[in-house]
Amino acid sequence: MRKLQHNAVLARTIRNQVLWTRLGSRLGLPVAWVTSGSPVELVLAAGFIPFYPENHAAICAAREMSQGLAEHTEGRGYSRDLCSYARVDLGAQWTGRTPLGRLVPPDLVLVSNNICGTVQNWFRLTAEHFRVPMFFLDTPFHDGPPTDGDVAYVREQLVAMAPEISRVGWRRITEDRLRKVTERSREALELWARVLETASRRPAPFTSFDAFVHMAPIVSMRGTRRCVAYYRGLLEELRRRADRGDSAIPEERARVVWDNIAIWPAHKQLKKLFERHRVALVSDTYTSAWTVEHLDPKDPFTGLAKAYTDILLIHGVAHRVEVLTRMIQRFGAQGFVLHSNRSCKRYSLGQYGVRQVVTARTGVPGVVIEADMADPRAVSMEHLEQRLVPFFESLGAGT
Amino acid sequence: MGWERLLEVARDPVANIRARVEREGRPLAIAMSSYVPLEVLDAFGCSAVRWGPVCEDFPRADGVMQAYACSFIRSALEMLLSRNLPARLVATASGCDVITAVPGMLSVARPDLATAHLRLPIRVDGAPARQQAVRALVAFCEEVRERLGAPLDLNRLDQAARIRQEVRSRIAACFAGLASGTFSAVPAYGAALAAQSMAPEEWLAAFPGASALPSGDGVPVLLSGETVPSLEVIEELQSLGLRIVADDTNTAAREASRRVHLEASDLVEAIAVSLADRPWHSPERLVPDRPAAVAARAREAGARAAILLHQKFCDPCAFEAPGLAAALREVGIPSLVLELDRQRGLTGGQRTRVQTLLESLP
Repeated sequence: MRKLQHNAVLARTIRNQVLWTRLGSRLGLPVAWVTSGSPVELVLAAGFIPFYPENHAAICAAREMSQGLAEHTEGRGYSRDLCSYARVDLGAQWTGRTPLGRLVPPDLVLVSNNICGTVQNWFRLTAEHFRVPMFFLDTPFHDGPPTDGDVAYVREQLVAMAPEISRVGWRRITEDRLRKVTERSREALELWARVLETASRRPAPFTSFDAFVHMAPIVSMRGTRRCVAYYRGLLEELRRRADRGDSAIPEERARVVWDNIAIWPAHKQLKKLFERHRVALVSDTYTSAWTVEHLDPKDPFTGLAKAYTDILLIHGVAHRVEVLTRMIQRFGAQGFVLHSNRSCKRYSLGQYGVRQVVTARTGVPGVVIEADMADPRAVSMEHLEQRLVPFFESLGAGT
Repeated sequence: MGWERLLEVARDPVANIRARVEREGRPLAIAMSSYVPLEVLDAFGCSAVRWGPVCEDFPRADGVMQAYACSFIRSALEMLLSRNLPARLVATASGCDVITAVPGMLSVARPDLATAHLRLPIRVDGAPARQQAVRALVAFCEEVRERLGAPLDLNRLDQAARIRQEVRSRIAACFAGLASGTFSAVPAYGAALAAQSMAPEEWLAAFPGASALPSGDGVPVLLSGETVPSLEVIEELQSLGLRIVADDTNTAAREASRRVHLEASDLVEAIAVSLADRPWHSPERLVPDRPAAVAARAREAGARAAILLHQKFCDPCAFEAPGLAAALREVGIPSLVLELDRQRGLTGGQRTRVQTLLESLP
């Protein structure tokens, strides 16, 4: 089992992105704090450097800083039942403590509720703290494909906010600029989809534990040339590994798929647990949450409206069942793991029914594990092992 | 009749809903949000009610939903899964992530039960939001029509919109009377709670008018929060020496503040606009000046303290609480958050906290 060479490239890329954000801000480039489901293409076209508080919270959790930051937020009266990403990130804003050295303050925040209802509150507090404008893209929830009315509503908001964002940025958003950024986003998303697809090979050269980490550029750098170049390189490496028959898991014995965000406080331990039992986590709903098919450089506003009204978390149970069923079939999985994430109600509620229906459709068993994406106080490795080990054994995998 | 009847219904809404369905012989439609307009469900020929009561145990609901959802929703699920209510349709509206998840969960756990989701906009500013509200309500009506196999009766809609508006106006008048002292909290909340499950015609016939039952003594307070789980909470707060003079709950003033332009040429459109333009929104909508507006109302009503009654695991409330407390503090009103979880009344600890708040007032 060989480590991905691109792990080092990723570390360099993220470091450079952090440095670029700091340098750019010093040089007078505006910074936009955005949610992962925001149409980042708009702020890129206006010359902003985007920053992703969700990514930041995940980094804080992976670096074991999340508990202290969350406790600071709780000390200000915010309930421990709220999203841990929000508590961690707000704690970082209010204390100035961050694993990135320092946070570059935003010139605006851009929010879309297509991933959850929490972000509108979290980013409102961010906007109030930094005294900057907040742009909110309201995207209707639905279980089927977005209706024409939904797309019209979202498009209308995008068109209305473009000149306002331009005013805060350093250049005007033109259709031409938006087209170029959208084209790069589309290309990066296509490459990312192909990267994820490599795990369908047997043995899998790449697992979702790798994807959870290597998704950082698609979240925080899509729409840029660096992002496209990054995934071209990663895809090449994975293809080489697949052709050589290199396996991400030694002696892969079982393949499973994952639903929900990673458990960052236990990421390394979980990865080891899967490896020890020779179980390859071949796909997940989290890293493949964006859709590429709608982005249309010829009509960027409509394409963005469609794309950001059709991401995973804007849909309900029926859509999740479809996605998981497809994944299980496509990746040849023998089981699936549903992370019931205390911090993310939008992602987690409904999973019990999802498990039931997906199993009935595919004949493949699923297990629900209780944890949290960033709050270590809600993560117990013992509990995870107690749930996962018997499940792995039932799949014919073991140490 | 009169207060006795309204308070009886308020104390046991589930029994009243069962009796009502038996009496009316119509399909029961349960709305799980104050943003679902009951008049529309009336016009589909349903016995329309709004969910409010809270259970203490959720053996069935726990099998379909994680425990980190609010007890308001878990109670509704428990009732539906136990088939204690002969529901035919469950109507939800966009707002919090938990309510949004309900139709999906029911599609697996109770596939025989019809659901319809009103996809209202979260932003409530300006024409695009209103247009989206109209599109959402039209789509919702289409969904209900398909699920129930019954058409929307426009004549009935006209009647229902008028009578429901009359109910809301009278409830709003009750709550306006709290500040002036012409009304007291128990009948006011009793009237609001009863209106959630009674037929509006029956409610109007029972409602004795706004001049009865003046308020007693007590420290004037604002009550804010989502659903008031029972009349017991109000009675307990009163018994502790509080006099509610202003309300900001979904059960009462927020929902009652909605006004439909009844003379509009398109009533469906007018109802949709009334939802987007509701004067007193809930915190799940994007209304940045809401805390300041609530604080101003509290001050105007002469409140000396505020009780923020929150359901545990209610994210919109939990996010709003510190900001609302700060806005109230700015106008000189201290506040206390009481977090309710699977309980109809207050716990001993909560009663002590209320007493401490009262004792700390100058």
